Amino acid sequence: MPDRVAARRIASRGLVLIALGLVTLAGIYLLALRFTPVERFQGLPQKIFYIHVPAAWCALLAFSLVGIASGLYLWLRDPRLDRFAESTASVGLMFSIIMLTTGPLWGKPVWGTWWEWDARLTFTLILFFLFLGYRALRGALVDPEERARFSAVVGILGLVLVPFVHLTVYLFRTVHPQPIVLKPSEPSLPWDMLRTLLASLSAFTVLLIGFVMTRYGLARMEDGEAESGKREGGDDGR
Amino acid sequence: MGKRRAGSGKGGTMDVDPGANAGYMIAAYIVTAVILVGYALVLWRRYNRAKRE
Repeated sequence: MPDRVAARRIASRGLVLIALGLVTLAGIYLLALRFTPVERFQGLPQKIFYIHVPAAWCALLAFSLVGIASGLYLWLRDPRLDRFAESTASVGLMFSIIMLTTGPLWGKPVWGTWWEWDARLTFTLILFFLFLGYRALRGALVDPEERARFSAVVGILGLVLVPFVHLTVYLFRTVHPQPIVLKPSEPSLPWDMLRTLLASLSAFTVLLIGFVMTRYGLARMEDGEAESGKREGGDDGR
Repeated sequence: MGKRRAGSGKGGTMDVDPGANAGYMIAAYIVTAVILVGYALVLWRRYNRAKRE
């Protein structure tokens, strides 16, 4: 029972963070659309940058955390790590959907095409499908220990792919722009734009933490229910 | 138009029509808001259900 109380507390704190993140994001929308200058060559579609980049950041961070938690699970065999990996993967997929929707909406007016089969875009799509497969695998396996072990292997494969996705713009010729903030030299962005991007990155990160906490807390609450249900069933049978 | 542009002083001309392709930007912002708020509502409803049980 104390575990269920702790799980409920985690979920409710996560919901508070989500609410905070959404309110902050409303402010970011105002900042980006009203108080950030329009880029000279791309015009208004460039403002998609302020949601596309943070969504990509959150998706890749979430998938990295899945891989780390999966590796730790295989080492420590703590079911909470498996639950954390599962929750983070779902949230990562949600941010991936934002990234894969806003990207083509930016690409069409700037590149003249919705999609280009170049290295960055293709590997990002592969990463998305890998984690869809992760979800499908979890749904297909009934035994919790087996499910955790098999999906941990897929989670680690995803972690291996994350740095590769980031480095594709350096390794291959690609239409996707090179990083302008997360790179060895100084960010090559005017302060007005960098300020909005950093604010948006912060709001999205708060949302990521909130979503993962809520999802994880809920999973633990549901685990507690299932266990108490089993226990009651066992008592009745005796 | 008086719109500021990145990397230049005020009053400079834009190389593109500032209002062009605004629909893509609006669509991206709406889609993002719908996904985030929608996911938050799904979790909120799941939390309330789990709390009652």
